[in-house]
Amino acid sequence: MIKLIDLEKSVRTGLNRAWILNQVNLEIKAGEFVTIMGPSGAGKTTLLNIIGMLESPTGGEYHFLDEPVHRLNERKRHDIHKQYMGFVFQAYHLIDDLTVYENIETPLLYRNVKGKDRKSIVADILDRFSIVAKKDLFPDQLSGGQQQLVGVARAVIHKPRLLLADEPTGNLHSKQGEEIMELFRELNEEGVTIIQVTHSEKNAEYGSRIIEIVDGNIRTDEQVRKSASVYGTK
Amino acid sequence: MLQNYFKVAYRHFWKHKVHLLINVLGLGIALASCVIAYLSWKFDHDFDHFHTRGEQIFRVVSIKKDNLQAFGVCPAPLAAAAKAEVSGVQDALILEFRNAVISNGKDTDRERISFTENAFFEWFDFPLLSGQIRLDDAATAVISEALAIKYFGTSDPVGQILTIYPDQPFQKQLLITGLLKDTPVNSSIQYELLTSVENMYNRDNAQVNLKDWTYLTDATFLMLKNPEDQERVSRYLEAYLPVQNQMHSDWQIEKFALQPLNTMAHHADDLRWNALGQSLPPSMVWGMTLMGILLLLTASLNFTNMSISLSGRRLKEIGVRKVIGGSRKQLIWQLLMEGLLISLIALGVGLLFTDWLLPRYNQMWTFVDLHLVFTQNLPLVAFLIAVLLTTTFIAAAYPAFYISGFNPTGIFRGKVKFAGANLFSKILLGAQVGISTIALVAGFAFTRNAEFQKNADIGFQREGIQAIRIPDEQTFRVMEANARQHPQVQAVAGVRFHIGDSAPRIEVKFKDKKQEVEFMPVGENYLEVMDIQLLSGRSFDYQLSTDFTESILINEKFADLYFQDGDPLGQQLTLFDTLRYNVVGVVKNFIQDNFHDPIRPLVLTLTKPDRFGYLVIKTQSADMLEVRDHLSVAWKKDFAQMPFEHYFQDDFLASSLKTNTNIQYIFSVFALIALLLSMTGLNSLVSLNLLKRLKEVTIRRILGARPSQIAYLLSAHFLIVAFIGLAVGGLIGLKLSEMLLNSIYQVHVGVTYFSLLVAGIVVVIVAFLTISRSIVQAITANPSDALNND
Ligand SMILES: Nc1ncnc2c1ncn2[C@@H]1O[C@H](COP(=O)(O)OP(=O)(O)OP(=O)(O)O)[C@@H](O)[C@H]1O
Ligand SMILES: [Mg+2]
Repeated sequence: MIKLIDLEKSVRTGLNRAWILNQVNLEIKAGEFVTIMGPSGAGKTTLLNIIGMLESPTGGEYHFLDEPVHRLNERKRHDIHKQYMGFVFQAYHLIDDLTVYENIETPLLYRNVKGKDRKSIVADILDRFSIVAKKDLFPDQLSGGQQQLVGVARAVIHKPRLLLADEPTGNLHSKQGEEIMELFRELNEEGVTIIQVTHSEKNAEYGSRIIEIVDGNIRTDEQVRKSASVYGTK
Repeated sequence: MLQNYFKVAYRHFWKHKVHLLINVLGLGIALASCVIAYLSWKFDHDFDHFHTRGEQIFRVVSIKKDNLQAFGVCPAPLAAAAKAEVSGVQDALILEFRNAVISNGKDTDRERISFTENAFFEWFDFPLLSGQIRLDDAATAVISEALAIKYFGTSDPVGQILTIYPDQPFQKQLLITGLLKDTPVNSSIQYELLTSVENMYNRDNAQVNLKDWTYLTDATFLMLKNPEDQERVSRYLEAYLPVQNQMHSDWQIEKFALQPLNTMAHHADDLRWNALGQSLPPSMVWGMTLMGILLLLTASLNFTNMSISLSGRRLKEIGVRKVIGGSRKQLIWQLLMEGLLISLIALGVGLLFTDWLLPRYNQMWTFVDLHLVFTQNLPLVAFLIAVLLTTTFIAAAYPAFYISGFNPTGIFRGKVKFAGANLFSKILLGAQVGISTIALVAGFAFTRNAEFQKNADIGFQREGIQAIRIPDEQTFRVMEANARQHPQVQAVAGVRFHIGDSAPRIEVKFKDKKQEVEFMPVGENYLEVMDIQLLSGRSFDYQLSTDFTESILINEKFADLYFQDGDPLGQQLTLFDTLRYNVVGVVKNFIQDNFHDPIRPLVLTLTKPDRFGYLVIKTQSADMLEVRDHLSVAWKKDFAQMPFEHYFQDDFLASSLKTNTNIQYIFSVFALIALLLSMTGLNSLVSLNLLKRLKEVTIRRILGARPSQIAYLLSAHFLIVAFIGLAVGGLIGLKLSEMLLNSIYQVHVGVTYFSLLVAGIVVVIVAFLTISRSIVQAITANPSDALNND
């Protein structure tokens, strides 16, 4: 599904060039549940953003479902991003002026899903995540864990094939964190490929593979167990 | 999706109600002035456009040979001749006017009577409300609603009798046969009472002979079969020049010109002896337009500034929307739609405001009558849509295109700190302050001019002076005696054309040149009563009988224009081709009509009471009303058949002053709104800046910075920008005020840097008051709060 070849990301700092990612080679198959770990400032978020097409690499190749992303134009990249990917953030990043229901519904609006279908899809997910009672509340009326539940619901509402999560439990205490991780496991079992960044060994155990990044390089890459998903094709 | 946008917009703005309210009101008022500017333009543009056959109708004007100026009058026989003999002319029509006394037996007043024939109503679309038109019968008349109400109140005027010329031997009773709708204000032809041309009398009390080439009609219209024949027909009319010029040797015509009915009102300002109306003063249209545009700009820019300063909050939303699938295009649309929504609300507010304002605006100017009517008014609707889109674009384009371009990762990493104080918003602030200053400077310039009009030395005594119009010597003698009887009356005098009642212009020959000058025959004592100062030579000597026939005074202007290289005293002037006078003195310039008109070269002769037109009475100011009442009672006793036409001297200057006060008022309101808007902008910029730099400021304070240094740190760069705006706006304001004053008044106080100084002081004080709150907040904030709260 994802193939990175000699990927690099550098930024100018004054006269010098600083490499945030350097010579990253990586292949991730559909159905995997990958955990990225590493010290602060190692480049984990940057890697995730590049995979999620929120940032562009400065060198190397990025293939997604056999499409050479590094050669595609902005519009095409946006289309792939929109069709296949969902994002979960450490700081939840819900839209403050929209209710829970409206936040979850918004991705469907951008995908032109018709009103009736939209209602039933949102209703299903509210039900599944047990947040029906909260649907008319605004984000600042929810606890962190509840907000992150909404964040995950919003990320998967359009059934993405790839879920990218940057320290999704970083702001939560362990009980809430576990709830989110359980959800991830379920989603992964349903066939969603997941890449998460985390500092927590415990969270890492939910995954099938752990990649450790240090100073913009992949230090270790180990398969902890067989990929849970059987639906993956690539 | 729209609903989603709408909810976000609604909730977002609801959290910033005050900001939004100020902005919507500002935009609303700005849009209202744009709408008024448009309506004024349209009103002016549509002058005389309501006649179905208007395309075919042309007015004949005469170009005089000696000065090549266009005159509204035309030799009377031309109409009949053109109709009979000139091919392409389908019909011809004469329209005449007289200011004459009319009476219903009870009320008597001087009115403007129009003389024409039945065909007038086939030519022009002036609707008859009731009765019929029978102008072929010279014993009938039709009147306007306004006149009907004045003389007959609520009772039906049709069938009633009005007497015209009750003060004359040839007085005549007319049967009112029809009631006409009042003329629209933007019509060159204005009537009150229309009757047959047969009822016209000339100066010698004889019926007017329309076959007389020396008789000039007020307006002659031709109806052409084909409007394209305009040039050709005016060439054909040249055939009548020889006969006219032979018959009327002292009024030689160079040629005739045809003015289309549809556009003539816009050329009427250059037309002399024009008995028809004219379009709006151009400054009225461009002044309003300029004001509308400037206000709209200020208000839209303020909106932009608000969007930018509030966008810190919106950034996260923008980033999130991009991550969850929104394209940049969709985000631009979302932000533009928000702008459109606000503009739409503002337009609603603006239209309500216009609706409220229009009656008041119409009342300010007698020659304006604007209405906001949407039905069957596609141009207005199109204009509103255009304004709406423009506003939206100015207000929302910058935030929409700029903010939507940010990368979500940049936003989430907190690298995009987009709030307030970027270069763009500083430029906006400068522009707003500049616009406010323009309005302030103009407001002060007109305030100064109002003072000038009230107090300036205008060359004659205006306090304690009143005048009554008198028709003949006998009336003069009786009223003069009545006035002298009153103990408070200090002096009286007679004059033919009183100051303020535009004296006629005549031709004067001297040094083998002919010049047109104003002509003012005065009675004994008039110069003393009016306190007109002598500059050189001597004044009239009332004992000297030759002074009545041979001596003449000229004004300073005359001397300056035509006697630069020599002493005018002793020079000989010839009036009316035969009467010779010697210049015995020069008088100081004085305002002859009002401030709208220039001071013109003038001659004064001494005349006897048989030529008087006014009785002028001088008292203490406090006694004026009492004396007026005394005279009014005396008049009613002896001359009940004639109207008592009374003027206070200040009445003549009142219209100039009213115009000035109106403009002053408009600019004050404009300045107030612009200032309010720009200060909101300044406030949001400074308080945002404070928010961003609170921590820095606090640390500096702990390190020992003085309050003045903190104040400087927070506001210096805004104040510099505001100062540049102030300077540029001030200079533009001065230039603009001068242009406006020049276009309205021939005599005015001019502009000085003083207005700029006052405006500058006002802006600086208001700006300091505006930012002082934020600065005090910065200086007094508790350091530990400021540092922890991050
Ligand atoms: N656009 C940029 N310009 C300059 N430096 C950047 C940019 N983006 C990231 N960096 C730097 O690159 C490095 C890697 O950043 P990144 O956010 O990927 O680290 P991380 O592994 O996610 O760290 P953390 O665990 O703290 O989230 C950091 O030192 C960061 O400061
Ligand atoms: Mg990170």
